[in-house]
Formats: sequence, C-alpha cells, structure tokens
Amino acid sequence: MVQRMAKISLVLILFLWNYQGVAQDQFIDRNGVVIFEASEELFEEVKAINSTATAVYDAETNELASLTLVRAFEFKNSLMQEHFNESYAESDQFPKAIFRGALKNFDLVGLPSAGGEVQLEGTLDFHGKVKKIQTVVNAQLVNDVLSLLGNFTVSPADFDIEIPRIVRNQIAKEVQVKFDFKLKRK
Amino acid sequence: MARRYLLMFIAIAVGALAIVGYRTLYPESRNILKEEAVHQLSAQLLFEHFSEENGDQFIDQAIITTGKVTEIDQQSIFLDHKVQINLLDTPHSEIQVEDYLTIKGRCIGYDDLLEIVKIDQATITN
Repeated sequence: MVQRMAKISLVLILFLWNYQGVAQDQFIDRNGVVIFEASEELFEEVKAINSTATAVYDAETNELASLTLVRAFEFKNSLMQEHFNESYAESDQFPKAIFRGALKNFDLVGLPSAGGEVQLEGTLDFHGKVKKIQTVVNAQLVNDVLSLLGNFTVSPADFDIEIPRIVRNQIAKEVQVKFDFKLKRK
Repeated sequence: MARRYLLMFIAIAVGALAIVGYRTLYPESRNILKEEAVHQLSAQLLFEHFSEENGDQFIDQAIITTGKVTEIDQQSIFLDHKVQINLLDTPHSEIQVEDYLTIKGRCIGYDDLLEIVKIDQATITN
C-alpha cells in the first residue's frame, strides 16, 4: 500500500514538474501590433493598424500562433474602415485572421542578447482562405520579453478579395503586412 | 447688384457643397462613450455567450459590462479573468485588482487562443 502511494506521489510530482516546465516556456502578447498597407502613390493612404492582436509562442516546440480580430483594424479614414469591414474583409462573416506556424531551427537559449534573424513558416487563415507564409523575423529576448518583428507580402487575390474596378488603381496589388509582438514569459 | 448677390450665392453654395462632400468622404470616427449601449451584461455572461458560440450579436457594438478586476498590465485590465479591456485614457494606477468596475466600450470579438473576450475604446462608468 505504502509502495503504491509512493508510486502515485512520484507520478504526480513528475506530472506537476512537467506541467510547470511547459507553462514556463510559453510566451504571450495580448496587445500585439499588426499593420497592413496597400497604398498607391498619389492616392489616399490605405493603411490600418491593429493593436490588440494575440500571439502565443511555445519555446518547447517553437510553435507560434497569432489571432487578430479583424474589426479592430483602425484606419485614419473611418469611411475606408467601414468599406474594408463590409465589402472587402467581410468581418461579420470572417471575424478573425489566424496565423499558425513555427520558428525554424531556432533555439531560444542560444539567441544572442543583441537578437538575431529567424526563419518563420506557417499559414495565414483570413477571409475563408489559407495562404502559406514564409518570412524572416527579428527575434530578441530581453528580461523575459521576446520581441518578434517581421513583415511579409500578400495580395487581395490570395484571400479571394475582389477590388472593384473603380478603386483598383488606388489600392496596391501587393499588401505589406508588418507585425510587432512583445511576448512575455508566462 | 443682382450679379453680386448671385456670385455670393454661388460662393456659399460651393462652400456648403465642399463641407458636405468632405464630411461624407471623411466622416468623424466613432465615439463609443457617446453611443447608446446596445447590451448591458456581466463580464462572466458576456464570456459565456462567446464560449457557447453565441456572441456575434455583441461584435462591434457599444456595450456595458461589469466585473471584478483580476489582472492589470501595461495596456489592459481583465475582468473576471475572461474579458480584456483596453481603456481609452484612465491611468491604470487608479485601478486596483479586486475593484468592481463597470465599463462602456466596443466589443471586438472572441480570442480562441487565450479564450478571452476583447473590448477596446473603453471608459469606466462607475
């Protein structure tokens, strides 16, 4: 009986140890910044900022996931914001943009204190379509805060978004997406 | 004389049209505090609506919600662990964990990754 209890205790201790280990290796940002820009020269700026994106990084597996609520993209021009939500992103039907991927050949422990460049690969799920994303991010760890700074290019067509002919020359065919995550160790 | 009045009339009409045109193309941004709240419910109930996939009615609406502050960080406060609030301008130093707050803000949706509801442009109303 005592032996059995000891075994159970050992399993429990190992489980809790392991659980604590996993929990300590998670980094979270609940107010990540995602910016997209599709401006054309001579026309009004087409740019929106979202400052409430979530990003979660697991240092055990190197997986990175990010969720952006589409309604929280802010444009300077509120009419443009309305058009974006209603006619292009169709935010009521597709309220989230989700990235799932991983940092490749990355070891957080071996990251130089001045930071370094890391390959990021994954998929972006937006407007009901999924697109593969490959980019290089700048990673830096300072006092339990992991900064991930990067950008990539997509096009409206990648996500089945049709730009009406009347505004086609005012919106760039290539959309620059930038992200700035400050993930705190949990 | 009549020509002078006509010119003045045309100038005023063009000016008025320009103002109307500008306001149509560049409408003022939303002021959530001035909007009438469409829903009023507790933070816990708001979370339950979303976790049961019944929260679409709240998205992009001005809502009032109440709950206990369970966490405060640099940019957000959290009500009952389940609702993230980004305040417009109240300094976080004026808020303490365990405070009961009523806030008015815009519900921007549900975050499946962290299982929290997010509200921005919020103001404390109690």
